Amino acid sequence: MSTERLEASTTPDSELLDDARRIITGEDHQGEGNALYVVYVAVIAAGAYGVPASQQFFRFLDPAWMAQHLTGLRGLAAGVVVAAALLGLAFRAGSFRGPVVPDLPYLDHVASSPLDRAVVLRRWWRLGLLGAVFGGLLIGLVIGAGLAIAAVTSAVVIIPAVVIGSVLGLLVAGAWLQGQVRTWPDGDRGWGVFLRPSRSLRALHLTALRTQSARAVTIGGAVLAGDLRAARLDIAAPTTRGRKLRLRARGPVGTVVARDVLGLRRSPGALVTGMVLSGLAAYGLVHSASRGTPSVIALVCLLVGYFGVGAWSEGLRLQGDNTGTPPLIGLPARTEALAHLVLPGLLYAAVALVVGGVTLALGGGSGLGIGWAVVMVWLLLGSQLMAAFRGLPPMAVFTPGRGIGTTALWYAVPMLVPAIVGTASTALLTSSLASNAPLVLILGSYAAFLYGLRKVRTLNEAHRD
Amino acid sequence: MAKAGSKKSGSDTRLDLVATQVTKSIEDNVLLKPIDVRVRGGQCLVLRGENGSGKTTLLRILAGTMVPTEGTTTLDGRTIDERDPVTRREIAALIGAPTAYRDLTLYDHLVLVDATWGRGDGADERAMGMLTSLEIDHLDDRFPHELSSGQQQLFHLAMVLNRPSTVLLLDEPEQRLDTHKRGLLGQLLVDRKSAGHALVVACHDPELTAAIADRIVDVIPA
Repeated sequence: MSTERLEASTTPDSELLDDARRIITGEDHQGEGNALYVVYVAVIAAGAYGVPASQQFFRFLDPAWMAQHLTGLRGLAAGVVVAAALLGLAFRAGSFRGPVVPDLPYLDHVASSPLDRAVVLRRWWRLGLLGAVFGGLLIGLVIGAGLAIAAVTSAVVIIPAVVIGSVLGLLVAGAWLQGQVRTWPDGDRGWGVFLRPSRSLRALHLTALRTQSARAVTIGGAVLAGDLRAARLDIAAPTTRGRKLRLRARGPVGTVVARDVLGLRRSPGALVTGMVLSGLAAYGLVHSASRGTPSVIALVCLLVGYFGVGAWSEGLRLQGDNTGTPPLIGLPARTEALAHLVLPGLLYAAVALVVGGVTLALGGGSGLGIGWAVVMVWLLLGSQLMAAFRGLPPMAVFTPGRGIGTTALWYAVPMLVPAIVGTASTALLTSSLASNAPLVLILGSYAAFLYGLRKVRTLNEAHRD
Repeated sequence: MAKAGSKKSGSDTRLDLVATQVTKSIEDNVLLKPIDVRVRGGQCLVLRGENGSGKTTLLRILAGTMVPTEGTTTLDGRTIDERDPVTRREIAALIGAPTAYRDLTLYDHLVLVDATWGRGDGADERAMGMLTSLEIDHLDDRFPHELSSGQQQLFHLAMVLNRPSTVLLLDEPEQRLDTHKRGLLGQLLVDRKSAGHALVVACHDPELTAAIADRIVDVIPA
């Protein structure tokens, strides 16, 4: 048997790659068409929704406060902090899912070849870069236009806002790729490759690329199947804190509540995230009860509050994950679900009271506003019930052309309920029909709760057939 | 020990778990051919059969988590239905892996399961006792994701065995266990029989089967 050494091909890598891609996709420019469509939709959304929301937000904020905090050295410091936070987030995101995540067959059959990895992977990097820079540009445009329309500054601000947004987008893209490069423990992984895409792409290891690609497939499948547990387990760092802490028996319901307390003690990140988001939501809701406050404030706060209370609701979500399995917990599913709502409910009410009290002491808000922020707890808890017991997505998510929209809507429903009901009742509260506001809020909260509890029952029974 | 229902045959007050001509089909696919099984308190029935013969389906039907296409299942004359609190109280089942709380240790899981059944004082001791009986007490402060696959199986068994019940349904409890742990499991199940529990176990291990079975039913593939 003779051995034959392969000679290096004289055909440029880019041409070989084009051939490979033509074989895989059958077309030349499908990806570019999709990217252009995304750009088109983003521009429309920024103009139709982003700019109006931005100017409403800046109208709500006190111009004197903004002038004091967002100009001069303070403004510069705030800008640097925000930019650093964004870059840190992008770097961290890169370790879970970087900008360069081709599908597994491409990695196994093309990226594993001797072709220059900078050429093989640059398509994904360029898409990520384009998205980050264009996204930054649009965000700068939305913020600048909002400031100008709200008459906070002159229209000239749009130009630096767009430039700063674009540059920040470029840096974010670089940090994102750098975070991905750093997932492999050796090689060309220092900051010397930052924003040097060819060197960065060559530093990406096939095993690390495969890990991120497989994770993307797992998470994508989990989202489509309504199995967010699988996605959470893939993303979230496993709990290792407080292993010496012990759960103590406190009666059937009390032990379930104690379980949730112990869970939060072992997940301080979730505790703090919930505190910060719920605090922000309560701050805005306290103000939203005052006449003249734009309705968009209540809308944004309820969305933020949904995520805040959600950070404390892991016990409820885990119960939802367990529906249909032979029972281990000795409580009826409905009672167990209600027990899991005790801790997030109490925490939110406490945060709302403290934030409201401080706001009042500093001369903002009102007693009514504090009460309004607190009673939103029922709406937020009802939405958590709905979210934890979503069940399976409708078959329409698998329909070509409708999948993404249907999936997004299906996931958003529990979040939209408090946003819509809470915003509508708050709008009534600050109008001439204020006496109807509590009725709308009570009915909406009751409906969300009732629907959530019904889902608890139906999901527990659904597996029987 | 709590007993479900009220119908007893003659002077025999033992539990009576009965499946009569149960079948399961999904559209034209037959998952389980008609089968009769009966097991009394203090007895262990072992289900054997090749993969896909319907053992797990039968166990799900006996647990009341799946409705048979035809036939009936009763516990002491009362129809088995997972929605019925009596069914939930009496029947403990390990059919597939139960979902664990990722933020609770093994010890915490057992205390939680114990306490929610309102068993009163002593949850701590019972939890440690169960872990000790399966020789995994040294793992008490581990989180579920820190276990090997065999340890996971022992943990799942501990949770199921730690909740009060009179009927135990186990689907291949020996899987991923080493020879010594299979022996431990066999002894635990024999003890449960002696305490008057009714056991239905799908099992592929001849030694474990010999140790625990009073009767063996071969489930015939469709």
